[in-house]
Amino acid sequence: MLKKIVVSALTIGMLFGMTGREVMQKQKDLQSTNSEQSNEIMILISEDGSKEVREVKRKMKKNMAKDLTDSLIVFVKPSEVAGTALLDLQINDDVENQYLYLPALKKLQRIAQGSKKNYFMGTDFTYEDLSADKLDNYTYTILREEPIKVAKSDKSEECYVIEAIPTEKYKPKTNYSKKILWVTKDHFYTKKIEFYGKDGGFIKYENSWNFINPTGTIYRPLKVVIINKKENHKTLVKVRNLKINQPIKDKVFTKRYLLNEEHMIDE
Amino acid sequence: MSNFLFHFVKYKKLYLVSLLVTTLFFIFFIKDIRFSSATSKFFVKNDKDYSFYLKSVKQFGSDNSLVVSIKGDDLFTYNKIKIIRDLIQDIEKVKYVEYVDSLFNKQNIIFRNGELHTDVFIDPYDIPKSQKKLDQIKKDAINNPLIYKNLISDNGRIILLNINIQNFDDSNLNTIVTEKIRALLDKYKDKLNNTLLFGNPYISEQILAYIWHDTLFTIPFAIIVILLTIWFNLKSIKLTFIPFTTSFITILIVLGFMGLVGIELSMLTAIVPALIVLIGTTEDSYLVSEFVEEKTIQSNKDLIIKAISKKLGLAIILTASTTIIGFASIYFNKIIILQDFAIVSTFGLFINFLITIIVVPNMLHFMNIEVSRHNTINYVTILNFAKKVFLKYTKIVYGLAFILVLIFSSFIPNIVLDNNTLNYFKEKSEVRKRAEYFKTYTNGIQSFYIIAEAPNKKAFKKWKYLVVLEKIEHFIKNQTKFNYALSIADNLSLENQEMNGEGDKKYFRIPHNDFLIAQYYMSIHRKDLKRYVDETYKVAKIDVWHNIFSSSEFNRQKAILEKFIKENIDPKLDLKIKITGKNVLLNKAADTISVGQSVSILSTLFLVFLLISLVFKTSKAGMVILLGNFMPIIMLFGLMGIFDIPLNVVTAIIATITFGIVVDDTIHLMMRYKYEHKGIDKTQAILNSIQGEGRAILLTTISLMIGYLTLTTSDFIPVIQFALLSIFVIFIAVLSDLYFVPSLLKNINILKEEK
Repeated sequence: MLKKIVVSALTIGMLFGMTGREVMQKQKDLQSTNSEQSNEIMILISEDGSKEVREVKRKMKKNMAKDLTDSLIVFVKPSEVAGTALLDLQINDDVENQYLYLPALKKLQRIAQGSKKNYFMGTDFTYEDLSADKLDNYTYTILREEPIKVAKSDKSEECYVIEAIPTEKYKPKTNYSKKILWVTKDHFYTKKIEFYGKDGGFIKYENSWNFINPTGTIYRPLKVVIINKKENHKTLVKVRNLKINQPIKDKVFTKRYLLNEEHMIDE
Repeated sequence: MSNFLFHFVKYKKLYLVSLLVTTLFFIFFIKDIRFSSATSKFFVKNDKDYSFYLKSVKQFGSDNSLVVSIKGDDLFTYNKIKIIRDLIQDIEKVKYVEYVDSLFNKQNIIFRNGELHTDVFIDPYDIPKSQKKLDQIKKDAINNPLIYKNLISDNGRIILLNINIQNFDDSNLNTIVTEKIRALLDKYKDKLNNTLLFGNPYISEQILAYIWHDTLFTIPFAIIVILLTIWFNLKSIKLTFIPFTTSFITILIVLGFMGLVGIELSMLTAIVPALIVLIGTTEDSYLVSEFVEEKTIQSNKDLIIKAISKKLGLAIILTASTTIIGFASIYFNKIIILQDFAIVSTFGLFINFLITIIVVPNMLHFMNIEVSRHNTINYVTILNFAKKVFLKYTKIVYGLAFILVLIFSSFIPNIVLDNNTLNYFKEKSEVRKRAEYFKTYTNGIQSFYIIAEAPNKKAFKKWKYLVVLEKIEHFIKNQTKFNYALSIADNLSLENQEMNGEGDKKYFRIPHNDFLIAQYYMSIHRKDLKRYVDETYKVAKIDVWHNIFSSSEFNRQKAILEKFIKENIDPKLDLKIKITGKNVLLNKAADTISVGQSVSILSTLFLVFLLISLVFKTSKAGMVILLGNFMPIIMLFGLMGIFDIPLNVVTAIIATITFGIVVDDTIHLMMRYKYEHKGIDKTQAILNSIQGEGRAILLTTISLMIGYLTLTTSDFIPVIQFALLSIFVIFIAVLSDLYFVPSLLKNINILKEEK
């Protein structure tokens, strides 16, 4: 009993003194995976409430030694866009190559670096949002600690409210002047993110809920919504068939894989 | 009827107190009066097409926009681009501004060096410092068909900003936004010294300024001049004070009425006070002239008022009625601004008539007015000539009238229709100068939409529907006088050019592959799509720009386009294609002007004919009235044809209004003839009528002509045309009353005892 009290006190003491950077590092340590794959249903909701539904398959693999992440997003539905894919290959900390594959053209096109600030395929995610954030791209400050309500429940979760400001080096590459993140204090997953434009104005926020704990310290939301106030548009994402740390072949993250249209027949 | 006017003297307390209370009641509402230069005032009332237009605006966004031109040789330099960026960011903060389209937020979809670029032309927060890169951006923008002449001029020396403003048709709010943006351009004047503002809100602001000018300067000036003319004729300040009093009270009540019922001061309703003074004082002049006449005969004021009543009682009721009928008939027009004008002016003239019969007899009765015949202008020479013509040259008068009517009527078919508010400004006005500038450097300063609605959802994701848009656009650019068209088909064609053709212009077309189209669509965000296609892909829009200012020409070009659509679009597609926009509604309203005018003038002619026929108990009297005033109206339309004066909302009402006015003199002449005819020879009775009424006719005519002349100081071309054409009609009408009507009275028996 005494041991438990001592450990708890130490933990509290340690956490109480955490910096923003330490919280984010801790999150990375606890939430990083070797690989992830899932099916996602994206619902694009317009100002007047009309909806457009898309289904994608997402795969991600991490080179733990180099701390580099490759990812692939493949559109499955609707049928006319099935096979459209975005391949994101992280070459090093500064270089990231993105390729767009349109099956109707049978062409793989490299997306220019500057174009990553644009919205991805009509959603409210930018290409930048879909890339893996490097911790070093931002400086983090804890603004406050506050509870955040759990969706469809009376409960709330205690969060660190962290301001992430892009570094001078990263500034030209990002759309945002800052992001504010709500990171839960118990499991270190991100519940909410607010995005602010370069003019300082609020652009959009991302809310995540229905978190599950597929393995170990990993927590993932089954629902994410991005509410884009600037464009009066929403994107709701529902996650299905989430698989964590299951082996994915390296060839999946290659241009040839797409050009051979293997991504269209892959299970 | 003989004691009609004396009645108001007898019960003066009752009537004057009632008038005072009524006036005070209306004065209370003057504070609620609003100014308006809203474009929708020029639309047809309850137009179904207007509802369709509003639906389209709701679906695809507001078309209420201001354009800023920034001109310079060094625009594409780091410093200048940075300044323009700052200006845009300041504009975006202005209340009611929805967004600003510029090179800073438009995608530059281009395939270059093996990479697909989809970023904005200029990232506002990452402006390239390299001159080479900026030159490339300029080149890209000029070559981009979605940007060309919309956001950049063909030579790259002008950058254009399209400022989209919340779609309110409230001229006051448009003015506020325009003023704020102008203030921002002034703030940046040192850094960007060649900027120019234009667009509908700017035009609306300018119209409002002109209405203010007319209200504060032209109209008071007109009132002063009319009163001076009366004073000059009567040489009596006390007598001049009478029309001043009646006019002043009427104007207060009319302004209060407008505030009460919510009719705004527009280009047309703003001139109502001046018209009331103009027309109202003619009745006063008749009464005052008669007073002067009677005062030389007797001194008992009760008897004078009774005598005036006997001579003029019925005449002033009739003349007021015909004038009111003329103005009221304008309500038959379907255009909102004309209906507003009809309501306000009819109310005003009716009130003015009531005030005249209450106030004038009392003022004449109770004011100590000393008159001398020598003080009044002597019109003897003119009247003697009229008598001479009547006695000797009747046939020549008939012949001359016939020839004039024939010549002038041959020019009537030349009249063109026009309802374009830009044409209301003078050639040398700042608005017209700016219009010329933007005509040169942009795709056009006027625009409209073509809305295509398919039977099924997702239709505009399919090649067969999208090529319809492409086909229509191609026809517009090559076969009509419209300048440019843009739709979602262009976005998709551009994607095809860059993603499929790797920049090859041959690929600027809709790919014949619905899968590819769907995949192209995916890369366009809803914010960019929503201006051209609805959420369900069932309805698509084509934007069309042009510089056609004439309503007739616009409607002709629109008809050509509609014919093409009808004959060339596959009916199996079941597409409902409709042309809409403010421009379309304005020009459609122009078509109703001629119909509205015809209905209004014919109804006026009929009612006046009926009224006079009833009073004289013979339709021959009605015939004399119509024949006597037919010539000025025909000559009016002929003159418009000769001088290319278009039929617009203002010139369309001249015929009806002036007929209502000039017919008064004829009525006075005929009533006098009826009065004089008792017991004396017909010819002598006519000569006595010319002598008795001639002075008042000439006095009112001169007052009216001078009064109308002052309206030429207005800034609005139609108001100037209105004034000059009215003067022409009044002039022809007085000639007709003095030289033509007496001959008609001689040859047509209008009195029972003549039969």
